[in-house]
Amino acid sequence: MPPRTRAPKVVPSRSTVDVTAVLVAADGARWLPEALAALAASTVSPAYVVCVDNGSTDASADLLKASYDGVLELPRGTSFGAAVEAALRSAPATRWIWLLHDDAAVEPDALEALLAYAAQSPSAALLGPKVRDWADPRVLVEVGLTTDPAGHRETGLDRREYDQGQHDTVRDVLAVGTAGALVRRDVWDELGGLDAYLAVFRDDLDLGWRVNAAGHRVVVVPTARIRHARAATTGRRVLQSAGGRPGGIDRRNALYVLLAHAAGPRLLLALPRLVIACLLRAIGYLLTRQVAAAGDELAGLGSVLGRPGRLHAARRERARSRSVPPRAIRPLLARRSGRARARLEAVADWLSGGAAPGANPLGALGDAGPEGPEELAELVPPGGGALRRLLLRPGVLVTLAVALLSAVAERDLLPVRRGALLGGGLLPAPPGAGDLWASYAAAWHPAVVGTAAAAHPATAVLAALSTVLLGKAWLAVDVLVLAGPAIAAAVAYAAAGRLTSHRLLRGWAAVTWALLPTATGSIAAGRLDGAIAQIAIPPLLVAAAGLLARRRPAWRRAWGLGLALAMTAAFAPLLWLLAGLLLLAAATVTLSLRRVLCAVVVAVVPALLLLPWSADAVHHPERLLDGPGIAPTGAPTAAWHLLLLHSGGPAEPALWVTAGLLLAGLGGLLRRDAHRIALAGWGVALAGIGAAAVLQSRGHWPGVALQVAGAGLLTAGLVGGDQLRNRLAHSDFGWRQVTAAAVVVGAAVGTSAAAVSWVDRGAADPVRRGGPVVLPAFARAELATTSGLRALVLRVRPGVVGYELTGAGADLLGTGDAPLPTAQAAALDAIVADLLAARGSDAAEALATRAVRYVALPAGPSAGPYAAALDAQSGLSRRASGRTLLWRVVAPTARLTVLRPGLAAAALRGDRGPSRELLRVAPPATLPAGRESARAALPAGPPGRLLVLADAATRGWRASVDGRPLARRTAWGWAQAFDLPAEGGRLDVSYDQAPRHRALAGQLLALAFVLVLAAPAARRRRGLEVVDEEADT
Amino acid sequence: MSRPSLSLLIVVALLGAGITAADALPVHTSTAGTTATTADVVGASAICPDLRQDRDVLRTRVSAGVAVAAQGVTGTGRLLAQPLAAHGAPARLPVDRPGQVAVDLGSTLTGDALEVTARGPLAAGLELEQVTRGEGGSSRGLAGLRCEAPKTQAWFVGGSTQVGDSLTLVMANPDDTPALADVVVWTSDGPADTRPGRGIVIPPRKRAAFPLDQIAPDKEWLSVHVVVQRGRVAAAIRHARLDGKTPKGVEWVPQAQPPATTVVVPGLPQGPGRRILSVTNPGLDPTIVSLHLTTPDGQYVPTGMDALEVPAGTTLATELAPLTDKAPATVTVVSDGGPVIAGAFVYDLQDGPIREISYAGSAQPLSGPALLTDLVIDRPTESTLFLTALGAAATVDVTPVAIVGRDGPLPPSKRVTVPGGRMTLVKLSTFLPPGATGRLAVEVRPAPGSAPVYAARYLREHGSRGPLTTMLVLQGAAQRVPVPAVRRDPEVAVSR
Repeated sequence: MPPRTRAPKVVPSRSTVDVTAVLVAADGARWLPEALAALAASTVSPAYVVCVDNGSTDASADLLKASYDGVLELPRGTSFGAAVEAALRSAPATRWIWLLHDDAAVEPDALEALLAYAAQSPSAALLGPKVRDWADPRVLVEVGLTTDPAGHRETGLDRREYDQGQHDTVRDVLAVGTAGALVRRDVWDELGGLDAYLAVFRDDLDLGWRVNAAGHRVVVVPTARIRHARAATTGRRVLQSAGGRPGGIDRRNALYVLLAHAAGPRLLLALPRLVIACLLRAIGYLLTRQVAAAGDELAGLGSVLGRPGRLHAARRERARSRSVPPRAIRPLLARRSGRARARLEAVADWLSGGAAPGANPLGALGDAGPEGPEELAELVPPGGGALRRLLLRPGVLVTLAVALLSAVAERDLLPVRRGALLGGGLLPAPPGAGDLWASYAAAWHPAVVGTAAAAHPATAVLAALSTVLLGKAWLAVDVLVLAGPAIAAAVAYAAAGRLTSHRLLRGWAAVTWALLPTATGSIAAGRLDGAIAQIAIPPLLVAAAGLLARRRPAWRRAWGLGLALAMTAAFAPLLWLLAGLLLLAAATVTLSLRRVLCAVVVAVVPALLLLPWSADAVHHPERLLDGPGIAPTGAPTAAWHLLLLHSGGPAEPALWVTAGLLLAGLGGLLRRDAHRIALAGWGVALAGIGAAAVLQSRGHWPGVALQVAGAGLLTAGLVGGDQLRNRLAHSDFGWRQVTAAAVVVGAAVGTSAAAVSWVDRGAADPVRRGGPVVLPAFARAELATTSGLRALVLRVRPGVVGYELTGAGADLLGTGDAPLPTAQAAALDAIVADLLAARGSDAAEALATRAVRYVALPAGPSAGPYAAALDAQSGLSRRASGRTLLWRVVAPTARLTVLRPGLAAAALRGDRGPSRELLRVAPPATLPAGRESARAALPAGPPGRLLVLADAATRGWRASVDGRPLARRTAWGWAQAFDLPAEGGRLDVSYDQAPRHRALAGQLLALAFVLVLAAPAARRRRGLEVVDEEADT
Repeated sequence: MSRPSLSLLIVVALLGAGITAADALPVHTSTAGTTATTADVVGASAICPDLRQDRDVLRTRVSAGVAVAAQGVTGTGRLLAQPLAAHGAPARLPVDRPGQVAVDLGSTLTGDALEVTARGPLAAGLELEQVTRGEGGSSRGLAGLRCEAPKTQAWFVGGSTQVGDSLTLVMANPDDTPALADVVVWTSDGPADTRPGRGIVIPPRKRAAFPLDQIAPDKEWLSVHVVVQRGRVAAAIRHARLDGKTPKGVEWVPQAQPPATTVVVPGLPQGPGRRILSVTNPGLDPTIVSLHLTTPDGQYVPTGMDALEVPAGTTLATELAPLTDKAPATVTVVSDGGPVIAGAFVYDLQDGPIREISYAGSAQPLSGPALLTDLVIDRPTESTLFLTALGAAATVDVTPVAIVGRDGPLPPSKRVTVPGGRMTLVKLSTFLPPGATGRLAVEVRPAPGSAPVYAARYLREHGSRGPLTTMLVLQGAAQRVPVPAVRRDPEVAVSR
């Protein structure tokens, strides 16, 4: 910087005005030369310029002295207010005071504009300029200030809002920043200047508020402009005038100002509200790992409340100077909803034209935001309103197209009909989210003959989703199944953006992904795991790639990916196995300990979060291979069908439609520059196909594995398609071009054919919308009103008769997929086989011990012989002969029965059921029971009676008579029973919930733990401002 | 070779190898559920509908036996008998292992209907037979009946409600809940009004007698279908005929086979009187039937019987007497249209005005060993076993069975060969030395590998005042039944 010559006090061309300019400097040598130059260039000259240096350790004082005489040198740590006071004392009084900072550069005409407005409007006592950023003058920093009832400093501007003249009207505001503010001397003196307590931060807000309260106007004059570095706010300057962290001081001063200005009785309301809000914010900060910010909140609160005397004095002083009622000022305060609206607007902005939709799907959780006008202009077609802009974005277009296509294909499934989606693997959803939650929390489930196995974790995720969707469980299923293709297309389009910028290619990838054979197949087969995987795989892949691509992946990304994987694995546990293994393998290949550790985190988090269930899965490893709902029973297909991503299920298009995709994937391998990505894609694809082959040979649905394979193929295919035209242009026309054209045409035609075939076939069957109608209405009603009663539903299939024990109507989502212990399954098989064989067995009585009241068989030509056998079965009595043939079990059926000694002996012996003779002589007495627990009055009777619960014997059952616990027994070889005393009393039967509740609490804790670790970290802050990393560097 | 081409080759090779390996993976067969098989019957019951005893005038004999199963089920068990209306513990019958027969049970039992139940080894092959012998009045004659298991459907062909005929449907409900039955009647004039027969309630463990003239008064050649809407009943129809004070016979109408397009009525006995075949078309469209007779000499279609029209809902009665004058015959009814039911009415005479009736029911081929538990061999009585092979030649073993309480060596068994398309008669008195009298029980068992064979027994006593006849079709009790494959499949509760 060239040494400046002493500036003349009066510049001939300029007029002098009745203004005292006070320039306060504190370690501002970085900005001061420019600030001084700007002041010197002002079109009008203040009558006096008083410079104050607050004991700067840098060259500030010298710089000031070089420009102006009579520089006041005050001790280090003097506040801005005190410095101004000292300056004013040293100069003759003028009508106006112009406050200047060492880090603010005024435009030449700023003072002139301020004075011009002041002359025009004498009621304005405090005038502020439009403040713009020091480094980038296009960015608005401040056009007037206000505060909301929570104490946030509001500028009314978006973050990094560009100055396009949108705020260029003179407005009355609550306050203006002190930098460049012009204040009338008489008002300044009347109010006593800046509050000495507010050494830094909020002093300006307080001053403006007081000026307003005193009946003067505070205006912002946008024609007056300054550039301001906000060195204190952005943390570029170490605070000297006040001790402590900037955040803490800021919060303290915010509270102080609010409380000092709250008029009279309003304080009583404001105080508790602020205290609670502070505490809540502190908790919020803690949860997002912003410990320092939480400390600031608490420190600010403590320091204000800890000195009530000072607050009282401040309030008295403000009450003295107040001359207008508070309601006159209230319009100048920001409303509470302002911040929420601003955030919503940011999201809307992002949706309508910020970054590409979901360009960073996981990042969208944390740091979305409009990137800048240049990027916007590039992505958004010109003209039109926000809606049009939104609709014309290619990603949105692709999503809408797939949504329309699926709406036509799903014509028979749309929720215009009554009933829930069901059929195939899908069980109907219960009425509300509460039912799902209850089912998840229950320690014992009434499915089949009752089980204590942990509920499928998908129940919890579905319950959470239904809670969000207004508590409607069916809606959650509808969204996953019916809107699945559109969502899948959207996420696939976004994910494809990582591999190519070619929009048509991305669109093709999105549609192909949404219409993969297994995608349409999992809808038709009612497979929730497939529907979820279709939505989750693209973002999971992107996130996993992000984790592997970074040199030092952030821990929170690993925790976040683990969390997302856990949510997905709740439905498709197989995905956890595959993703965990693939990620570990890939991380190991990179030879980076950090990445391997991250991969371990990702692999461990799902096991941790799904804990009660995943521990169960150790005993039943096969459960890890199936999703929720009914396990499919399809014949395996040839292995090369798997290569073409066909699982052989319903609603899959012709085999050849995926041939183009396969060839495109192979073509991706030929690309030199992105060879690694294509190889990685093929690694995923091969793992998926291999897993599918193994799954299918084990009798499981290979769909999810094929979806993984499909994602890998698409990755490789996109690599092959990206820049294809450029690459081909480099070589002479020949086989390369012909082959490439053939593959491109094949891929496009294949995807179109998949769409046509899906629309033609329709998405339904076996999944459908409606209600289970197997049981006639009267039987359903009877089962629904008497807790614990069951029905045996039979159905003749080719070569086998399928059966299921259900409660009223049918199994519901979240209740029906517990495995049955082998012994009990075998016993049930034998009973049902006997029942259908007309061999005069006691099968009906054995059913009665299982509280089966009805046996139902849908009528049909193949049902004839079995109907005859059931007719001939003693102990069954035909009740209905319509669409469903129905038999009632003659023996007394109830969930809770009391057996007399004769029957009790038979039961304890482990007979399959009571003999008809014994039943005739001493039928069991039935007692009322609830769904789980039972409470009944037990009559007295002979000794040796047995209380039998028609539920599988498990350790959790407890029973007592008048508080005396009963000895546990096993009846009929499987059922929970208790020895009964001869005397009667109050009978209580219940299941011990404590272990399940402990497990749930543990799961909740684990979830909170992972959530905190996965939460997006607060962005780097410096001082009070969030720093844009790119803008800063 | 460049790196990309190499990796392409490797991937293609991996895919090829993977597919080959995947196809070679053993396919996991689900262990859930059971496979289809056959199983022994483990429980059986039968109900004899009428145990009337009236000192010297009326005597009812009940005999029970358990055939030895083809698969050789052994072991002991209990046969329990309990009159329907009675309370208290059931009585134990003396039969305790397969291959035994107990006779004359009725005399020790009281009550109107008797239920016999068997569990375990005795259930496979339980057969129960009742024979009532009346000496005078409307009960004069022999009335025999195979006691049937309670069922939800029963078909009967035969009976009349004209003046002098009394036709009673007896339904016994062995269960502890009321049974509800509908009775549908067809006659030679077409279907009868269905309303009176609807919703007949049989109280728990009770017998209900329902006069069929309430449904179809003054009709000839009835066919009856009992449909049990709720519960199960054992149904039987008793036909007694009286002309003034002259007994014209009494008989139980046997249960017929359900409607089929081919119906076999085995064993119309030779002799004087009338032999009337009833064919009922329970369908809604008329049908044309042809009658094929199988006699000891061969098979033929009688003149004019190759195309008989049976209008819908109507019974066609055809007199076969001239054809059976010289030889007994088995009749095969073949319907060109819908399924039909058929049976034959035998009106026997001797010198004097007294007549006797009996019914030949339709039959399935012998499914296994069948028991004839109540054979009285004496001078005036002749019991004849009719064996008919409609197609290929059949071989049948007729083996005497031990009667509980009657010791002594059993007569040797006989192997009878029935030529194809022929009928063979076996006189059961030949098992005893000529002139000897006594009781006999035999088991009729198709030899392993034998062609289907139909069997019936005709019992005719040359009574002092007129003939006493009854007929019994042999079926063989179910011993082994097919058991379907079953699998727990939660989808059945939600699929359409």
